[in-house]
Amino acid sequence: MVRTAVRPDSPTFWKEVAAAPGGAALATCIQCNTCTSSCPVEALDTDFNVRQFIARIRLGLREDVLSDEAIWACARCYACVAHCPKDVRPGDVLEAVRHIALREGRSGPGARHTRVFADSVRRNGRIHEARVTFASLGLRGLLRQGSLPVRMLLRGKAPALRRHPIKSVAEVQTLFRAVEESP
Amino acid sequence: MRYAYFPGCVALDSCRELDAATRAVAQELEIELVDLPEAACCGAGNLQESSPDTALALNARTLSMAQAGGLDLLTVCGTCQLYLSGAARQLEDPGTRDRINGLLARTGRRYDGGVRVKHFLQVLLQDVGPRKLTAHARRPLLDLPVGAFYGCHLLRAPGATAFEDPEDPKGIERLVEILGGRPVAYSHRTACCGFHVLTTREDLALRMAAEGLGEAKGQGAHVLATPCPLCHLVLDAYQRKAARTSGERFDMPVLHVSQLVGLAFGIDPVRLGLKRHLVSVKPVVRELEDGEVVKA
Repeated sequence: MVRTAVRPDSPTFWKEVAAAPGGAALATCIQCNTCTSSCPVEALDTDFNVRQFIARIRLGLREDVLSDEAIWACARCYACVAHCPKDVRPGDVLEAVRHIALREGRSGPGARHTRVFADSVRRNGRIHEARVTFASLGLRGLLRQGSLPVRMLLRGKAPALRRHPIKSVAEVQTLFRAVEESP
Repeated sequence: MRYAYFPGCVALDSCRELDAATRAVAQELEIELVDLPEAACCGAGNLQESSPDTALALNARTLSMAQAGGLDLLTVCGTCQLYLSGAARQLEDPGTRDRINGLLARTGRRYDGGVRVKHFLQVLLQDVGPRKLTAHARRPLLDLPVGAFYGCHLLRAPGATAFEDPEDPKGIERLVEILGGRPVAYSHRTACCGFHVLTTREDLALRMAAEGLGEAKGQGAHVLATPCPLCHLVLDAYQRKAARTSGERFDMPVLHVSQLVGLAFGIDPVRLGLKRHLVSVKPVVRELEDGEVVKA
Protein backbone atom coordinates (compact mmCIF):
# COMPACT_ATOMS: atom_id res chain seq x y z
CA MET A 1 0.00 0.00 0.00
CA VAL A 2 1.23 3.52 -0.76
CA ARG A 3 0.88 5.51 2.43
CA THR A 4 -0.03 9.15 2.15
CA ALA A 5 2.02 11.46 4.34
CA VAL A 6 0.75 11.64 7.89
CA ARG A 7 1.90 14.01 10.60
CA PRO A 8 2.60 13.05 14.17
CA ASP A 9 -0.35 14.33 16.17
CA SER A 10 0.63 12.96 19.57
CA PRO A 11 4.34 12.71 20.45
CA THR A 12 3.44 10.95 23.73
CA PHE A 13 1.21 8.32 22.13
CA TRP A 14 3.81 5.66 22.88
CA LYS A 15 3.49 6.39 26.59
CA GLU A 16 -0.26 6.02 26.36
CA VAL A 17 0.11 2.63 24.67
CA ALA A 18 2.82 1.55 27.13
CA ALA A 19 0.43 2.32 30.00
CA ALA A 20 -2.38 0.24 28.46
CA PRO A 21 -2.58 -3.48 29.31
CA GLY A 22 -0.02 -5.37 27.17
CA GLY A 23 1.90 -2.33 25.96
CA ALA A 24 4.55 -2.09 28.68
CA ALA A 25 7.59 -3.36 26.72
CA LEU A 26 6.95 -1.21 23.63
CA ALA A 27 10.01 1.02 24.16
CA THR A 28 12.50 -1.84 24.02
CA CYS A 29 11.69 -2.74 20.38
CA ILE A 30 14.77 -2.67 18.13
CA GLN A 31 12.75 -2.85 14.88
CA CYS A 32 14.41 -6.13 13.89
CA ASN A 33 11.30 -7.28 11.96
CA THR A 34 11.19 -10.77 13.51
CA CYS A 35 7.53 -10.18 14.43
CA THR A 36 6.52 -9.30 10.89
CA SER A 37 8.55 -12.18 9.47
CA SER A 38 6.69 -14.68 11.63
CA CYS A 39 3.23 -13.16 11.07
CA PRO A 40 0.78 -15.33 9.06
CA VAL A 41 -1.48 -12.33 8.40
CA GLU A 42 1.34 -10.22 6.93
CA ALA A 43 2.14 -13.12 4.63
CA LEU A 44 -1.30 -12.60 3.04
CA ASP A 45 -1.85 -8.87 3.53
CA THR A 46 1.20 -6.60 3.76
CA ASP A 47 -0.96 -3.77 5.17
CA PHE A 48 -0.81 -5.61 8.46
CA ASN A 49 2.78 -4.99 9.51
CA VAL A 50 3.47 -5.42 13.21
CA ARG A 51 6.91 -3.84 13.18
CA GLN A 52 5.60 -0.80 11.33
CA PHE A 53 2.73 -0.48 13.80
CA ILE A 54 5.27 -0.21 16.60
CA ALA A 55 7.25 2.36 14.60
CA ARG A 56 4.08 4.36 13.89
CA ILE A 57 3.13 4.33 17.57
CA ARG A 58 6.57 5.64 18.52
CA LEU A 59 6.42 8.32 15.82
CA GLY A 60 3.29 9.62 17.54
CA LEU A 61 0.90 8.87 14.67
CA ARG A 62 -2.03 8.48 17.04
CA GLU A 63 -5.00 9.04 14.75
CA ASP A 64 -3.31 7.18 11.88
CA VAL A 65 -2.88 4.06 14.03
CA LEU A 66 -6.15 4.12 15.96
CA SER A 67 -8.28 4.68 12.86
CA ASP A 68 -6.47 1.98 10.86
CA GLU A 69 -8.86 -0.96 10.44
CA ALA A 70 -5.79 -3.18 10.00
CA ILE A 71 -5.24 -3.20 13.79
CA TRP A 72 -8.23 -5.58 13.88
CA ALA A 73 -6.71 -8.00 11.34
CA CYS A 74 -4.46 -9.60 13.99
CA ALA A 75 -5.29 -13.32 14.16
CA ARG A 76 -4.02 -13.52 17.78
CA CYS A 77 -1.72 -16.42 16.89
CA TYR A 78 1.02 -15.05 19.19
CA ALA A 79 3.81 -16.13 16.82
CA CYS A 80 5.34 -12.64 17.14
CA VAL A 81 5.17 -12.85 20.94
CA ALA A 82 6.89 -16.25 20.91
CA HIS A 83 9.66 -15.17 18.52
CA CYS A 84 10.48 -11.60 19.58
CA PRO A 85 14.14 -11.54 20.74
CA LYS A 86 13.53 -8.54 23.01
CA ASP A 87 10.35 -9.74 24.71
CA VAL A 88 8.41 -6.75 23.40
CA ARG A 89 5.29 -8.94 23.03
CA PRO A 90 4.31 -7.14 19.80
CA GLY A 91 0.90 -8.84 19.63
CA ASP A 92 0.13 -7.59 23.12
CA VAL A 93 1.20 -4.07 22.08
CA LEU A 94 -1.42 -4.22 19.34
CA GLU A 95 -3.89 -5.50 21.91
CA ALA A 96 -3.12 -2.38 23.96
CA VAL A 97 -3.82 -0.26 20.87
CA ARG A 98 -7.16 -2.00 20.33
CA HIS A 99 -7.96 -1.51 24.02
CA ILE A 100 -7.48 2.25 23.56
CA ALA A 101 -9.57 2.20 20.37
CA LEU A 102 -12.40 0.44 22.23
CA ARG A 103 -12.14 2.80 25.19
CA GLU A 104 -12.54 5.73 22.81
CA GLY A 105 -15.65 4.17 21.30
CA ARG A 106 -14.13 3.74 17.84
CA SER A 107 -16.35 2.05 15.27
CA GLY A 108 -15.73 -0.44 12.47
CA PRO A 109 -16.20 -4.20 12.07
CA GLY A 110 -13.33 -5.18 14.38
CA ALA A 111 -14.38 -2.94 17.26
CA ARG A 112 -18.01 -3.97 16.77
CA HIS A 113 -17.22 -7.68 17.02
CA THR A 114 -15.20 -7.25 20.21
CA ARG A 115 -17.98 -5.19 21.81
CA VAL A 116 -20.70 -7.60 20.75
CA PHE A 117 -18.67 -10.47 22.21
CA ALA A 118 -18.14 -8.72 25.56
CA ASP A 119 -21.84 -7.79 25.71
CA SER A 120 -22.80 -11.40 25.14
CA VAL A 121 -20.63 -12.53 28.06
CA ARG A 122 -22.16 -9.83 30.22
CA ARG A 123 -25.70 -10.77 29.29
CA ASN A 124 -25.40 -14.55 29.36
CA GLY A 125 -22.20 -15.44 31.19
CA ARG A 126 -21.33 -17.36 28.06
CA ILE A 127 -21.30 -16.61 24.37
CA HIS A 128 -24.54 -16.69 22.49
CA GLU A 129 -22.81 -17.80 19.28
CA ALA A 130 -25.72 -17.23 16.90
CA ARG A 131 -26.38 -13.74 18.20
CA VAL A 132 -22.69 -12.77 18.31
CA THR A 133 -22.24 -13.95 14.72
CA PHE A 134 -25.35 -12.15 13.53
CA ALA A 135 -24.58 -8.90 15.34
CA SER A 136 -20.94 -8.93 14.18
CA LEU A 137 -21.67 -9.64 10.54
CA GLY A 138 -24.93 -7.75 10.17
CA LEU A 139 -27.65 -8.86 7.77
CA ARG A 140 -25.54 -8.13 4.72
CA GLY A 141 -22.58 -10.10 6.07
CA LEU A 142 -24.89 -12.97 6.92
CA LEU A 143 -26.32 -13.01 3.41
CA ARG A 144 -22.78 -13.10 2.04
CA GLN A 145 -22.36 -16.40 3.86
CA GLY A 146 -24.32 -17.97 1.00
CA SER A 147 -25.44 -21.53 1.64
CA LEU A 148 -23.26 -22.05 4.74
CA PRO A 149 -25.91 -21.26 7.42
CA VAL A 150 -28.38 -23.59 5.66
CA ARG A 151 -25.82 -26.37 5.34
CA MET A 152 -24.94 -25.97 9.03
CA LEU A 153 -28.63 -26.08 9.93
CA LEU A 154 -29.17 -29.27 7.95
CA ARG A 155 -26.27 -30.96 9.75
CA GLY A 156 -27.59 -29.91 13.14
CA LYS A 157 -24.38 -27.87 13.32
CA ALA A 158 -25.90 -24.40 13.62
CA PRO A 159 -25.53 -22.67 16.99
CA ALA A 160 -28.75 -22.56 19.01
CA LEU A 161 -31.01 -19.59 18.31
CA ARG A 162 -32.16 -19.51 21.91
CA ARG A 163 -29.71 -19.89 24.73
CA HIS A 164 -30.36 -19.38 28.39
CA PRO A 165 -27.95 -17.34 30.51
CA ILE A 166 -26.11 -19.26 33.22
CA LYS A 167 -28.12 -19.23 36.48
CA SER A 168 -25.53 -17.12 38.27
CA VAL A 169 -25.27 -14.49 35.54
CA ALA A 170 -25.90 -11.82 38.19
CA GLU A 171 -22.42 -12.63 39.59
CA VAL A 172 -20.90 -12.08 36.17
CA GLN A 173 -22.66 -8.73 35.89
CA THR A 174 -21.52 -7.79 39.39
CA LEU A 175 -17.90 -8.37 38.29
CA PHE A 176 -18.35 -6.28 35.12
CA ARG A 177 -19.75 -3.45 37.26
CA ALA A 178 -17.10 -3.84 39.93
CA VAL A 179 -14.34 -3.34 37.35
CA GLU A 180 -16.11 -0.34 35.81
CA GLU A 181 -16.50 1.26 39.22
CA SER A 182 -12.93 0.59 40.37
CA PRO A 183 -10.51 3.49 39.86
CA MET B 1 -9.07 -39.51 37.87
CA ARG B 2 -11.31 -36.49 38.44
CA TYR B 3 -11.27 -33.08 36.80
CA ALA B 4 -13.37 -29.97 36.91
CA TYR B 5 -14.62 -29.91 33.32
CA PHE B 6 -14.65 -26.63 31.38
CA PRO B 7 -15.96 -27.34 27.86
CA GLY B 8 -16.12 -23.62 26.96
CA CYS B 9 -18.83 -21.90 24.94
CA VAL B 10 -18.32 -23.43 21.49
CA ALA B 11 -18.21 -27.07 22.65
CA LEU B 12 -21.62 -26.44 24.21
CA ASP B 13 -23.05 -24.76 21.13
CA SER B 14 -21.97 -25.18 17.49
CA CYS B 15 -19.41 -27.91 18.35
CA ARG B 16 -21.61 -29.94 20.72
CA GLU B 17 -20.13 -33.09 19.16
CA LEU B 18 -16.83 -32.26 20.90
CA ASP B 19 -18.51 -32.26 24.30
CA ALA B 20 -20.33 -35.52 23.51
CA ALA B 21 -17.16 -37.25 22.27
CA THR B 22 -15.10 -36.04 25.24
CA ARG B 23 -17.69 -37.39 27.69
CA ALA B 24 -17.84 -40.74 25.86
CA VAL B 25 -14.04 -41.12 25.89
CA ALA B 26 -13.78 -40.01 29.52
CA GLN B 27 -16.42 -42.56 30.53
CA GLU B 28 -14.51 -45.31 28.73
CA LEU B 29 -11.31 -44.32 30.58
CA GLU B 30 -13.15 -43.95 33.91
CA ILE B 31 -12.25 -40.28 34.11
CA GLU B 32 -14.81 -38.41 36.17
CA LEU B 33 -15.76 -35.03 34.71
CA VAL B 34 -17.20 -32.71 37.34
CA ASP B 35 -19.41 -30.18 35.54
CA LEU B 36 -19.13 -26.46 36.23
CA PRO B 37 -22.54 -25.27 34.99
CA GLU B 38 -22.01 -21.79 36.43
CA ALA B 39 -18.60 -21.14 34.87
CA ALA B 40 -18.45 -18.14 32.52
CA CYS B 41 -16.71 -17.66 29.17
CA CYS B 42 -12.87 -17.53 29.22
CA GLY B 43 -13.00 -14.20 27.36
CA ALA B 44 -11.38 -15.63 24.22
CA GLY B 45 -9.11 -12.59 23.87
CA ASN B 46 -12.04 -10.27 23.13
CA LEU B 47 -12.94 -9.60 26.73
CA GLN B 48 -9.22 -9.43 27.62
CA GLU B 49 -9.03 -6.61 25.08
CA SER B 50 -12.11 -4.64 26.08
CA SER B 51 -11.88 -5.16 29.84
CA PRO B 52 -8.78 -7.09 30.97
CA ASP B 53 -9.67 -7.08 34.67
CA THR B 54 -13.19 -8.39 34.04
CA ALA B 55 -11.71 -11.23 32.01
CA LEU B 56 -9.22 -12.00 34.77
CA ALA B 57 -11.94 -11.85 37.44
CA LEU B 58 -14.26 -14.19 35.47
CA ASN B 59 -11.42 -16.68 35.00
CA ALA B 60 -10.46 -16.41 38.70
CA ARG B 61 -14.11 -17.20 39.44
CA THR B 62 -13.92 -20.34 37.26
CA LEU B 63 -10.64 -21.38 38.89
CA SER B 64 -12.19 -20.88 42.33
CA MET B 65 -14.91 -23.38 41.36
CA ALA B 66 -12.27 -25.99 40.52
CA GLN B 67 -10.44 -25.12 43.73
CA ALA B 68 -13.62 -25.69 45.76
CA GLY B 69 -13.63 -29.29 44.56
CA GLY B 70 -9.86 -29.66 45.05
CA LEU B 71 -9.57 -30.39 41.32
CA ASP B 72 -7.50 -29.44 38.31
CA LEU B 73 -9.36 -27.79 35.45
CA LEU B 74 -9.81 -29.68 32.17
CA THR B 75 -10.32 -27.84 28.87
CA VAL B 76 -11.02 -29.12 25.35
CA CYS B 77 -10.32 -25.88 23.46
CA GLY B 78 -7.00 -24.24 22.53
CA THR B 79 -8.35 -20.75 23.20
CA CYS B 80 -9.90 -21.68 26.58
CA GLN B 81 -6.60 -23.36 27.48
CA LEU B 82 -4.58 -20.24 26.59
CA TYR B 83 -6.71 -17.71 28.43
CA LEU B 84 -7.48 -19.84 31.50
CA SER B 85 -3.89 -21.01 31.99
CA GLY B 86 -2.78 -17.41 31.34
CA ALA B 87 -5.14 -16.22 34.07
CA ALA B 88 -3.97 -18.98 36.42
CA ARG B 89 -0.37 -17.85 35.93
CA GLN B 90 -1.21 -14.17 36.46
CA LEU B 91 -3.09 -15.13 39.62
CA GLU B 92 -0.03 -16.88 41.07
CA ASP B 93 1.26 -13.35 41.74
CA PRO B 94 -0.02 -12.54 45.26
CA GLY B 95 -0.55 -8.83 44.47
CA THR B 96 -2.65 -9.55 41.40
CA ARG B 97 -4.57 -12.26 43.25
CA ASP B 98 -5.38 -9.92 46.14
CA ARG B 99 -6.60 -7.25 43.75
CA ILE B 100 -8.83 -9.70 41.84
CA ASN B 101 -10.05 -11.30 45.07
CA GLY B 102 -11.16 -7.80 46.08
CA LEU B 103 -13.53 -7.91 43.10
CA LEU B 104 -14.51 -11.57 43.59
CA ALA B 105 -15.46 -10.85 47.21
CA ARG B 106 -18.59 -9.12 45.89
CA THR B 107 -19.76 -12.51 44.63
CA GLY B 108 -18.79 -14.32 47.84
CA ARG B 109 -15.99 -16.22 46.08
CA ARG B 110 -12.24 -16.35 46.53
CA TYR B 111 -9.34 -17.90 44.65
CA ASP B 112 -6.20 -18.98 46.53
CA GLY B 113 -4.08 -20.07 43.55
CA GLY B 114 -2.61 -23.44 42.68
CA VAL B 115 -5.23 -24.84 40.28
CA ARG B 116 -3.64 -26.40 37.20
CA VAL B 117 -5.31 -25.97 33.81
CA LYS B 118 -4.87 -28.93 31.48
CA HIS B 119 -6.07 -29.62 27.97
CA PHE B 120 -7.59 -33.06 27.30
CA LEU B 121 -4.71 -33.91 24.92
CA GLN B 122 -2.23 -33.47 27.76
CA VAL B 123 -4.42 -35.48 30.14
CA LEU B 124 -4.62 -38.33 27.63
CA LEU B 125 -0.87 -38.45 27.06
CA GLN B 126 0.39 -37.72 30.57
CA ASP B 127 -2.26 -38.67 33.11
CA VAL B 128 -3.87 -41.58 31.26
CA GLY B 129 -0.73 -42.66 29.42
CA PRO B 130 0.08 -44.80 26.35
CA ARG B 131 -0.43 -48.20 28.02
CA LYS B 132 -3.97 -47.54 29.09
CA LEU B 133 -4.81 -45.89 25.76
CA THR B 134 -3.46 -48.87 23.83
CA ALA B 135 -5.45 -51.25 26.03
CA HIS B 136 -8.67 -49.38 25.21
CA ALA B 137 -8.00 -49.11 21.46
CA ARG B 138 -10.32 -51.96 20.44
CA ARG B 139 -10.46 -50.70 16.89
CA PRO B 140 -6.94 -49.42 16.15
CA LEU B 141 -6.58 -46.89 13.37
CA LEU B 142 -4.99 -49.37 10.90
CA ASP B 143 -2.27 -47.05 9.62
CA LEU B 144 -4.85 -44.35 8.84
CA PRO B 145 -2.86 -41.30 7.65
CA VAL B 146 -3.81 -38.55 10.13
CA GLY B 147 -2.62 -34.95 9.85
CA ALA B 148 -2.35 -33.07 13.15
CA PHE B 149 -3.65 -29.51 13.26
CA TYR B 150 -2.58 -28.05 16.60
CA GLY B 151 -3.91 -24.50 16.50
CA CYS B 152 -1.85 -21.64 17.89
CA HIS B 153 -3.38 -21.19 21.30
CA LEU B 154 -2.71 -24.64 22.70
CA LEU B 155 0.98 -24.24 21.78
CA ARG B 156 1.24 -20.67 23.05
CA ALA B 157 -0.46 -21.33 26.38
CA PRO B 158 1.73 -20.77 29.44
CA GLY B 159 2.98 -24.13 30.63
CA ALA B 160 2.75 -25.63 27.13
CA THR B 161 6.54 -25.73 26.94
CA ALA B 162 6.62 -28.09 29.89
CA PHE B 163 4.52 -30.46 27.82
CA GLU B 164 5.89 -29.91 24.35
CA ASP B 165 8.09 -27.86 22.04
CA PRO B 166 5.71 -25.25 20.58
CA GLU B 167 7.85 -25.00 17.42
CA ASP B 168 7.89 -28.76 16.88
CA PRO B 169 5.07 -30.34 18.85
CA LYS B 170 4.69 -34.11 18.96
CA GLY B 171 1.61 -34.71 21.11
CA ILE B 172 -1.03 -35.41 18.46
CA GLU B 173 1.43 -37.47 16.40
CA ARG B 174 2.26 -39.55 19.48
CA LEU B 175 -1.42 -40.05 20.17
CA VAL B 176 -2.07 -41.10 16.55
CA GLU B 177 0.75 -43.67 16.78
CA ILE B 178 -0.51 -45.02 20.10
CA LEU B 179 -3.94 -45.48 18.52
CA GLY B 180 -2.47 -47.34 15.55
CA GLY B 181 -2.60 -44.57 12.97
CA ARG B 182 0.14 -43.06 10.84
CA PRO B 183 0.97 -39.38 11.50
CA VAL B 184 1.40 -37.33 8.33
CA ALA B 185 4.28 -34.84 8.31
CA TYR B 186 3.42 -31.40 6.91
CA SER B 187 4.49 -27.90 7.89
CA HIS B 188 1.05 -26.31 8.33
CA ARG B 189 0.29 -28.59 11.28
CA THR B 190 1.40 -25.68 13.50
CA ALA B 191 -0.12 -22.96 11.30
CA CYS B 192 -2.85 -20.54 12.27
CA CYS B 193 -6.43 -21.46 11.21
CA GLY B 194 -7.50 -17.81 11.11
CA PHE B 195 -10.55 -18.24 13.37
CA HIS B 196 -9.97 -15.04 15.32
CA VAL B 197 -10.32 -12.92 12.16
CA LEU B 198 -13.20 -14.96 10.75
CA THR B 199 -15.85 -12.34 11.49
CA THR B 200 -13.73 -9.29 10.63
CA ARG B 201 -11.48 -10.58 7.82
CA GLU B 202 -13.04 -13.76 6.49
CA ASP B 203 -10.86 -13.51 3.37
CA LEU B 204 -7.71 -13.98 5.47
CA ALA B 205 -9.12 -16.85 7.53
CA LEU B 206 -10.24 -18.73 4.43
CA ARG B 207 -6.84 -18.39 2.75
CA MET B 208 -5.07 -19.54 5.93
CA ALA B 209 -7.35 -22.57 6.16
CA ALA B 210 -6.95 -23.34 2.45
CA GLU B 211 -3.15 -23.41 2.73
CA GLY B 212 -3.24 -25.87 5.62
CA LEU B 213 -5.88 -28.12 4.07
CA GLY B 214 -4.11 -28.11 0.70
CA GLU B 215 -0.75 -29.08 2.13
CA ALA B 216 -2.22 -31.81 4.35
CA LYS B 217 -4.01 -33.31 1.37
CA GLY B 218 -0.89 -33.08 -0.78
CA GLN B 219 1.08 -34.94 1.88
CA GLY B 220 -1.45 -37.77 1.88
CA ALA B 221 -3.58 -37.11 4.98
CA HIS B 222 -7.02 -38.79 4.85
CA VAL B 223 -8.22 -36.90 7.89
CA LEU B 224 -7.12 -34.09 10.19
CA ALA B 225 -7.27 -34.15 13.98
CA THR B 226 -7.46 -30.94 15.99
CA PRO B 227 -7.54 -30.22 19.73
CA CYS B 228 -9.45 -26.96 19.20
CA PRO B 229 -13.13 -26.46 18.26
CA LEU B 230 -12.36 -23.05 16.77
CA CYS B 231 -9.85 -24.57 14.34
CA HIS B 232 -12.50 -27.21 13.69
CA LEU B 233 -15.09 -24.60 12.71
CA VAL B 234 -12.78 -23.01 10.16
CA LEU B 235 -11.35 -26.26 8.77
CA ASP B 236 -14.66 -28.15 8.63
CA ALA B 237 -17.59 -25.72 8.40
CA TYR B 238 -15.74 -23.18 6.23
CA GLN B 239 -13.84 -25.77 4.19
CA ARG B 240 -15.98 -25.41 1.07
CA LYS B 241 -15.62 -21.62 1.15
CA ALA B 242 -11.88 -21.98 1.74
CA ALA B 243 -11.62 -24.34 -1.21
CA ARG B 244 -13.28 -21.73 -3.41
CA THR B 245 -10.52 -19.19 -2.64
CA SER B 246 -7.86 -21.51 -4.01
CA GLY B 247 -9.98 -23.30 -6.63
CA GLU B 248 -9.21 -26.69 -5.07
CA ARG B 249 -11.35 -29.48 -3.66
CA PHE B 250 -10.22 -30.82 -0.32
CA ASP B 251 -12.88 -33.27 0.89
CA MET B 252 -10.83 -33.44 4.06
CA PRO B 253 -12.71 -34.73 7.10
CA VAL B 254 -11.66 -33.01 10.31
CA LEU B 255 -11.96 -34.79 13.65
CA HIS B 256 -11.76 -33.40 17.15
CA VAL B 257 -8.99 -35.23 19.04
CA SER B 258 -11.68 -36.69 21.34
CA GLN B 259 -13.49 -38.15 18.30
CA LEU B 260 -10.31 -39.71 16.92
CA VAL B 261 -9.71 -41.41 20.28
CA GLY B 262 -13.37 -42.45 20.43
CA LEU B 263 -13.18 -44.07 16.99
CA ALA B 264 -10.08 -46.05 17.99
CA PHE B 265 -11.88 -47.10 21.18
CA GLY B 266 -14.68 -48.49 19.01
CA ILE B 267 -17.28 -46.04 20.32
CA ASP B 268 -20.36 -45.70 18.08
CA PRO B 269 -19.72 -42.87 15.54
CA VAL B 270 -23.21 -41.49 16.18
CA ARG B 271 -22.37 -41.07 19.86
CA LEU B 272 -19.22 -39.23 18.82
CA GLY B 273 -21.34 -36.77 16.85
CA LEU B 274 -19.65 -37.55 13.52
CA LYS B 275 -22.88 -36.69 11.70
CA ARG B 276 -22.64 -33.08 12.78
CA HIS B 277 -19.68 -32.34 10.49
CA LEU B 278 -20.06 -30.41 7.25
CA VAL B 279 -17.37 -32.45 5.53
CA SER B 280 -18.45 -36.08 5.66
CA VAL B 281 -16.41 -38.35 7.93
CA LYS B 282 -17.96 -41.43 6.30
CA PRO B 283 -14.91 -42.27 4.12
CA VAL B 284 -12.75 -42.48 7.26
CA VAL B 285 -15.25 -44.62 9.16
CA ARG B 286 -15.63 -46.89 6.14
CA GLU B 287 -11.86 -47.17 5.81
CA LEU B 288 -11.65 -48.34 9.41
CA GLU B 289 -14.64 -50.67 9.12
CA ASP B 290 -13.38 -52.30 5.95
CA GLY B 291 -10.18 -53.05 7.77
CA GLU B 292 -8.06 -51.85 4.94
CA VAL B 293 -6.53 -48.51 4.31
CA VAL B 294 -6.02 -47.40 0.76
CA LYS B 295 -2.40 -46.30 0.87
CA ALA B 296 -1.66 -43.09 -0.99
